[in-house]
Amino acid sequence: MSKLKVAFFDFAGCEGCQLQIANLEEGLLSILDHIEIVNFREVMKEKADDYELAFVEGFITRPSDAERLKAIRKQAKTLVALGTCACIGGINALKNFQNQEYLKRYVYGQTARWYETYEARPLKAIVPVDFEIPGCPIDRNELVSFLICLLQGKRPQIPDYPVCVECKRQGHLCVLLKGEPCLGPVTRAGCKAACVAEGSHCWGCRGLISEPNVDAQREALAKLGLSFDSIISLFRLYDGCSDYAR
Amino acid sequence: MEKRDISIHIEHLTRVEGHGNIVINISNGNIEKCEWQVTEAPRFFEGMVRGRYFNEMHHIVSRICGICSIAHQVASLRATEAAMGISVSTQTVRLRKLALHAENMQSHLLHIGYLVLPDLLGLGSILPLAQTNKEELLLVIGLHRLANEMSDLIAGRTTHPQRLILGDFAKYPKEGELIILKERLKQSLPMFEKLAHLFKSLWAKIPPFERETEYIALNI
Repeated sequence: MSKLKVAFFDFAGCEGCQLQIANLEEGLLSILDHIEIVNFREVMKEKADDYELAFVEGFITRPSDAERLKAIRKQAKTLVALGTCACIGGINALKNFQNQEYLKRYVYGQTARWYETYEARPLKAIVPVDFEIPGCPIDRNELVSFLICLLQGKRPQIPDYPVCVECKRQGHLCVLLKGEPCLGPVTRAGCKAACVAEGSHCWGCRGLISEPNVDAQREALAKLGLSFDSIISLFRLYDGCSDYAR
Repeated sequence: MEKRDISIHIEHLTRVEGHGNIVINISNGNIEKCEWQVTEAPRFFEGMVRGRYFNEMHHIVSRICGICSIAHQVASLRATEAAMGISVSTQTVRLRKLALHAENMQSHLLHIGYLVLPDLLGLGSILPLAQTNKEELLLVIGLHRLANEMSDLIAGRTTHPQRLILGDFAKYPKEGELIILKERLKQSLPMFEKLAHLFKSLWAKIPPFERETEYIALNI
């Protein structure tokens, strides 16, 4: 039986999510027993267009990229948004709150006319996306679980409960109770509260759960002394394409 | 030069980080066009950071690059600290240098092992090595994993780590963990020598290309 043909593509982004595939180390070899990678620009010279499963990293920020994405959607039976940029626009949505023409001139001055750009948007703003694996960067174990599910014919699922569940499970002292801002209560779990575990707080990189209690989150942040503007600012970091960032 | 017509158009070079095209047009031996086109989509980080808080800078600019995120974080933290007159302890400086060394190791191994080695072996990628030269492949992967585990220990993780913060580290590695790391690094030296010998044996495959170059390094 032939192996599933898989391709990796990237648009605007840092390539950090694709790097996690190389970071699977020896694990990558076992995965290659079950899938055939036919297109992966960063790692392979060969390029084939008969892929069935496409992982796409990065966000869309210019018309030419939207066209390239549409071509990939046409070919792939299954399209997976890999990483926060592809899923929800990512940190790059920060630029959406400024006038795009002004931004071009501010950054590039005289050469601004050479650069085409529009507001940062996730893949799903251009084409239908079958699955999402969020995270900035992705958790490579989540990617592996996802592949295993798909190969077994099961429907892969990512958590729809807040980071707090995984955070408390690990016994961390609540960051909000320590007096620091944290977006854990409204952010999608699946990262094992990696940032809290390393001494920081949840920045919200995996995006909002489907029914976030944003009012309670805002109240909790206000109690810490954050102003209305600061709270919106915090939401704009990763949830810039959502309604709560306005 | 031969009076040839050559037309090369490579869309999105493979096995490099980032998007770029090569366009070469030679007509009757004359070079009409020789361009390396950078087609990477601009993201406007200089604009993204406007109006943001000082303690978020390093977190945002980390996302400039997934492979060298630690370098971006350290540069940003140092800039913010210089702007605000914050001085850091010797411990913080040393931990930052360790994090940068771990990243250099990871990045260089990725480059020579995953991106360049296939060219020297006449392969499209290192993936076929799993069948033909498994030992050499596992050598590259093993050292790559060591570099990543060093990043995990010092910085929190390899890509967009969390431990580097303004003026300090959010979490310190334990002394015992550092002692183990030092031992693992010492024990990896013979493996690095093996890797060096592998590349030495393939030296003839590197095309003879020299040009006058100025090497500049900044001392941190």
